[in-house]
Amino acid sequence: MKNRSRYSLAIATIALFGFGMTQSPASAEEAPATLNIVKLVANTHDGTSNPSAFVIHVTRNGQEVAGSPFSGFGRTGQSLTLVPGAYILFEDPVDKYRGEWSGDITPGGTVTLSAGQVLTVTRTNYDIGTTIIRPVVEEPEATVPTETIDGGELPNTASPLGDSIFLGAGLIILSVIGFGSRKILSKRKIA
Amino acid sequence: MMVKRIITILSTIILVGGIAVIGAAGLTAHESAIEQGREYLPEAQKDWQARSSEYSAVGKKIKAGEFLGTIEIPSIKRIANIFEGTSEAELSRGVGHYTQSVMPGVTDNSVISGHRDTVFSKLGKVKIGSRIVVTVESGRYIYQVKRIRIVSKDDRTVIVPTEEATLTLSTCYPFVFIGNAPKRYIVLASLEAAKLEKL
Repeated sequence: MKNRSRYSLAIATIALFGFGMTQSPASAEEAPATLNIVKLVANTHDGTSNPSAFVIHVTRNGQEVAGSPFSGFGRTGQSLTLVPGAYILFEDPVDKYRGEWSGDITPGGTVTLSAGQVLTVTRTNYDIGTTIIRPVVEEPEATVPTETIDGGELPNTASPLGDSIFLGAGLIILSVIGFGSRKILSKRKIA
Repeated sequence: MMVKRIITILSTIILVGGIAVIGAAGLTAHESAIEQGREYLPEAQKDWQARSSEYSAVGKKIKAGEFLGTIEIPSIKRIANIFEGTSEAELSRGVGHYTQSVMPGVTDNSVISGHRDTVFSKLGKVKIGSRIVVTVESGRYIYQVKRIRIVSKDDRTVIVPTEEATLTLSTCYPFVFIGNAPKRYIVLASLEAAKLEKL
């Protein structure tokens, strides 16, 4: 199944300078930071969704930043220029997919940007597929008895070995009789 | 002419079938002999030595088919491996310890069963006074045969608690019989000596 994995990679590199999507710096001394958001989709269980099916939000103090939310643009992906500070990233849930953050981000989706810093985070989604629950078969385990049972049934110690030998011998004898009767028939015809 | 041909074909089929059945039985016997002759003891020894010296069977968990030790009957030159349980899976590998009986060496009745046509085929030659040596995790135990019984397969007086350490061996009887034998051959032995040193 893993061999059939199809990874779709979308890396956004949208330069937002000059397009009115840049967050205004808090002060002239505070250089803006850059957040690169890489998106991967791993279809390992017959999933067919690509990066454009997933919508990512970038928020600060509960407010969406300029350019957020955004969906994958195939191989283009996203790069945002933001004022330094803490941001929370999250993604709209997509049925039959689970996702996780990796890179310069906490598992919960928090990124802290310093002035002039360039950070890269990756959001990877895995298709869940149909979960097959396999029963765990274990050998029965019992505690060694501290006393013998009263009136236990005697085990059947019959072995199929002897019966098989007798059966085989019987069949061979029967076949010998068959061959013998054939000869008798021949003699009768001659007579 | 036609009848003769039919008889020839049928006889040939029956002959091939008979040879196949005997061949399969021989193969099974061969595999069983290999399994019964397998040396489990050295591996088991390592395992046992690694365990606590304060061995106690009480409260110990055990799985069906688990190797328990060996049984030796010098008078009939027979050594067999003992496994937990008395189903065909265990009996085809050696002898089986009856799960609802105590372990060998314990003061009560420990029951061990085996096939009449393999491991216990010569059990009928065991006499009163013969010795049986059982080696299990807790030590080596020497039993002396005190009584031999032939009972019905439905007898419920064999697997019963005893006040002294007893070893009960059971197998089907008669030893040569087609199908499920109607009786059981029972050998009762009492603990004569115990060498409780760890193996």
